[in-house]
Order: sequence, then structure tokens, then C-alpha cells
Amino acid sequence: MLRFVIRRIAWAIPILLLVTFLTFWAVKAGTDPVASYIRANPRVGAQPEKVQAYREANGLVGSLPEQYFRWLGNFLTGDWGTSIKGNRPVWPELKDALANSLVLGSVSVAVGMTIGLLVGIVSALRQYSKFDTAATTAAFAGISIPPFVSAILLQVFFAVTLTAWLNTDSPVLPVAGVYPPGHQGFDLGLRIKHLVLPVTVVAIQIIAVYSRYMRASLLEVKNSDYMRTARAKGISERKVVTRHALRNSMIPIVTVAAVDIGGIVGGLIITERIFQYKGTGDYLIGALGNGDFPQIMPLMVLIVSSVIIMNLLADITYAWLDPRIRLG
Amino acid sequence: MADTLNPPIDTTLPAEVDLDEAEGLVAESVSPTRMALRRYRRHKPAMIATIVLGIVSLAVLFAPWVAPYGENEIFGAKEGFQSPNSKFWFGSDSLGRDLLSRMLYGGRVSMLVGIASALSAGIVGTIIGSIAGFRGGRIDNTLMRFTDVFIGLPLLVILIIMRQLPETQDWARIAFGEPGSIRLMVTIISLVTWVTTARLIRGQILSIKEKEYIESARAIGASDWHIISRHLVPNTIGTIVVAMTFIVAAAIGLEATLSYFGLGIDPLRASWGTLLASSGNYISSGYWWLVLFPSLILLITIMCVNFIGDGLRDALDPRQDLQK
Repeated sequence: MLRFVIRRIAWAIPILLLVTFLTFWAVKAGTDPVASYIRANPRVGAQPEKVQAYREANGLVGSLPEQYFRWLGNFLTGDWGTSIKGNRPVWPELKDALANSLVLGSVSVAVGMTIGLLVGIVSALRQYSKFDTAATTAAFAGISIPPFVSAILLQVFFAVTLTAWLNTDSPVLPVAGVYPPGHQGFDLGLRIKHLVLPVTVVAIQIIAVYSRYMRASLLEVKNSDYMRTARAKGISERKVVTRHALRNSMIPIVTVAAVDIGGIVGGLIITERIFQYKGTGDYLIGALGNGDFPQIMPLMVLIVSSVIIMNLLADITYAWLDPRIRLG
Repeated sequence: MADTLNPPIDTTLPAEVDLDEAEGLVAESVSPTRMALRRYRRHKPAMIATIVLGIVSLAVLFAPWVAPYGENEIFGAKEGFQSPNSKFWFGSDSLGRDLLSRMLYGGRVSMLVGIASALSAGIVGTIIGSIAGFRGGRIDNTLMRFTDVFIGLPLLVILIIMRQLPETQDWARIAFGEPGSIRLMVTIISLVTWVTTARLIRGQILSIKEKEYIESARAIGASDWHIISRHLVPNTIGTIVVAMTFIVAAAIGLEATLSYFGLGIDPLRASWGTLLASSGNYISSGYWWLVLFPSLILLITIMCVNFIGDGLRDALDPRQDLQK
């Protein structure tokens, strides 16, 4: 087991380097930091020496691998540079965005997983019942609806339709921001109110996907031989389900859940942008608009590394949960 | 001698009695295609989806004849923002353009992106997946490591980054297409979606390759080409078709998402994404139809395609119980 873990970690390092290098190349080619710098400071455009100074100060000289390793060194030592637009340090803004995204992400995952798995379990235990059919249809709708569509439909419903029906002055639920404009400090009630709609959008996707996974996984276990053996031994149905069926059916779910971080991040980006929720998605699309390479790159690296690390964790958990897995 | 041991019995049966039939052994011979069709017809959601999607596709395909007005026929601000009425069935937008007509024309872009992406991603994925599966060894290893990396990454993030390349790089403009073009959308969506198909096909080929009938084909001296074209491809075609269907659904959604954020199709062209993008500004003004109808058509289309994919998957799986 230990050898397996070490080997997997050893594999992850070159992959991380390769992926961050590709990201570095793609982001740099896509944003062109020097052009963005000139766009943000129109007056330096005519002064080649200032542009050259910017290039040198930000390590944009030499070959691509050279630039990459210089950037990597700075990144690892915590020197994350300043934004092109406004020349502000990158880390404080990114930190706030990350914190907000983590709150939205973890609440959505918690809500979405709980509901999704419960729905999946009930669906599988009562296969082909009315509940199962309804849940299946709903899951298909949830998988099919792009998150931006459910977000704007919710916005219209809560900001316009419901407000008109109830004749209230302000929207029933806030449709934008983390707090009302101008709010200072922490307020749990307001924070939750602002989270309801974004969490719903992200959770819809999670519920839709995981209720299907859970259903499929539990159905497969349900029809396996050891379930029949357990019943034949005279174990109560309740125990058969909780001890044998649920436990075994969770194994594939754990793996998918860890790998699925990519999908959740994608959903977050869209949701945050639409609800003007000050998270990493809002940060990323805003920074892309300015071609702000120093702002984009650390976030990209964080996303990419978390995906690779979660994959690694998934592999290890899988091997640990299921002794049948050969540690090849 | 022989005659006494084996008394001659009349082995010929009356002509009108069929032995198999008498013993209930008669089975109507059914080709795999017909069996698949039968299973598909039994999949109720898929059948409904086929009909609905058929109607939508026909309306979109024949938009110039079906649509009440032209794509960019402007009736002027005086007739702008009209809620659905007899002149504008789905209402009109800020410039007084008919939303229904724009949705029909926009559907051409959205569906074209969906189908073209699925075709190119499906073809590339199938070729690479079957080479990896059939040849195995180092090619296979390299490819799988590569897809490992690709598959976990947030699709949307890769798309957004790739979308930026043609803005600054000349080579990307040539290779991927102009910013805002349909070709760019198709190219980048295919570039991120072929990976799943490749993995699926590889897995299938790997398992089929070890089957006895492949071994016997080899034993009688069949060429690689014969094995691939006569055995491997027909046996994986179901997987390929199903994978491509799901890519269509994903691509339509991705196009709309990117266009919504102004990162997709040229905002001056109607597509389901750009229609929603321009409606985004009016959410709080109460022009609900600008949001509702494009959202619905998008949702209905993607859902139908997903249901069809699900139905096809069941239909093309011969192990599915016929009696169910």
C-alpha cells in the first residue's frame, strides 16, 4: 500500500510540472501580458524602453522554458507579482476570491451531495416506482440545463416574477453579490440569504449527476451474489441494505466525487459571474477581460493542482476502500 | 440383420406439420438492427425526445420558410420589447426584432456547432482510441497519460483559455478560426471533447481484441485492416454513436455558455447563446420572454439529445432484456 502511494505521488509531480507548463504557455499566449500592459498604460506604448523594463521586471525575457522556471520559482517562494491593471498585489484579492468560492463550493457540495445521494438511494431501492421515474426525469433535466440558464431563470423568477406577485419593494431573495452594496463586516443572516440562489444553481448539477451515479451503483450492488448470500443468512433487510449494499455502492461514488472537482469548478465560475458573487469565477472572467496574466496564472495553477491532487486522493482512497483493487 | 434391429420407421412427417413449430421452437429471425430498433421504440422518453427534437430540427432547418420574419428584420424601437402577441408570438427585443424568428435562425448556429463538434470529436476520438487500443504498448500508454491529465481539468476553464488564443496569436487564428466564428467554436469544443470518446473506444477495442472470434480471424490469416473494418468497428459503432450523441448535447450547452459570456459566437449573430446574452441586460426590467423562450428551447433541445443518447445506449446493448 505504502509503495503504491509513493509511486502515485511520484507520478503526480512530473504531471503537475507538465500541466503547469502547458497552462503557462497557453495563458501567456492567450493574454499576451506585454500587449495587456500597453493597453492598460496607453502612454508607455510609445516608449520602448519602458515596455522593455516591464518585460524584464516581470521575467518576460528569454526562452519559454526559462520564463516558466523563473515564474515557477517566484510562485513557489510566494512572490505572486502585481496585476497589470491597477498594479495591485495579486495575492490579497485572490485570497478573498478563493475564500468566497470555497464557501459557495463547499455549501453547494454538502447540500447537493446529501440530496443527490438520498434521492439516488430511494430511487434504487424503489426501482421503477413513481418516485424513481420522477427523479430520473428531473435528473435528466438537471444534467441538460446549462448552469447559466438555471441561474438566469432563477434570477428572473426571484427578482421579477415573484416580486411582482407579492408586491414587495425589494426582491424576495437577493440576486447579486455576497452582501448588499455598501455592507461592512460579517452578518450570517445576510450571507445565507445571498448564498441561497447561487448554491441552488451549483447544487442542481450535483444533485442531478450524483443521484444517477448513486442509483446505478446501488442497483449494481443490489443484484450481486453477496446480497443474496446475506439475505440467505437471515440478516434483516435493513441491515442488508445499510451494512452491505450502501457501503459497497459508495466506493465508486467516492472516486467520482473526488475527480469531479473539475465539473464543480466549471459550475462555480459560471454561477459566480452571473450572481456577481465575488469569487474566483468572477475574478477569472474579469481578469481575462483585461488580459491580466499575473492575476490569471496563480488561480489557474491552483485549479489545475487541486484537480491533480484530488485525482491522486481518489486513487488512493479507492485502493484503500476496495481491497480487490490490484495495486498495479 | 440391420432391418430387424432398426425397424424402418417413417421419418418423414406429414408435410403440414413443422417439427420445430410443434415443439414451440420457432423463432422469427430478427436482425440485430431490428432488435435494436425494437428496443429503442420501447424506450418511451427516447421516442418522445425523437419526435420533439425532430420538430425542432425541421423548424430550425427550414427557418427561412418557417420563421415569420427575417433573422435581422428590424421593426424599430417603437415595436421593441413587446410581450408575446399575435404579431410577435414570442415577443420582440430592444430593436423590435421578432424573437421567434431569431430563435429559429439562431438554432441553426447552435445545432450546427453541436453536430459539427460531435462529428469531428467523434472521428478524431475513434481513430486515436482505436489505434491506442489495437496497437497497445507505448502509443497506448502515452495517450492514456495524456487523456488522464485532460479529463480531470475543468472543461470550461480550458475552453475559456483556448478561446483567448486567436485574439493574440496569428497561428491560432489560422488553426482554430477567427474569434467569434462558428469554426472556432467547433474546433475548440472538439479539442476538449474528443478525449472521452477516445477513452471509451480504446476500452472497447481492448476488450474485443481478446475475444475468440478475433483470435480465429487472425488464425485464418485475416489482415489487420480486415479485423478492424469487419470486426472491431462494427462492434464499437454503438459506443461511438452514443458518445457522439452526448457530445452534441454538451457542445450545444458549451456554445451557449461561452456565447453568454461574450466568449463564443459573434454577438451580432443570432445563436441560442447570444440571444440569452443580450437578454441578460434586461433581467430586472421584466422582459421575461427574452430570457424564458431561448432558455426553454435550449433546455428542451439538450434534454432531447440526452434522452436519445440514453435510448440509443440501451438499444445498442444486446444484453438488454427483450422481455422487460
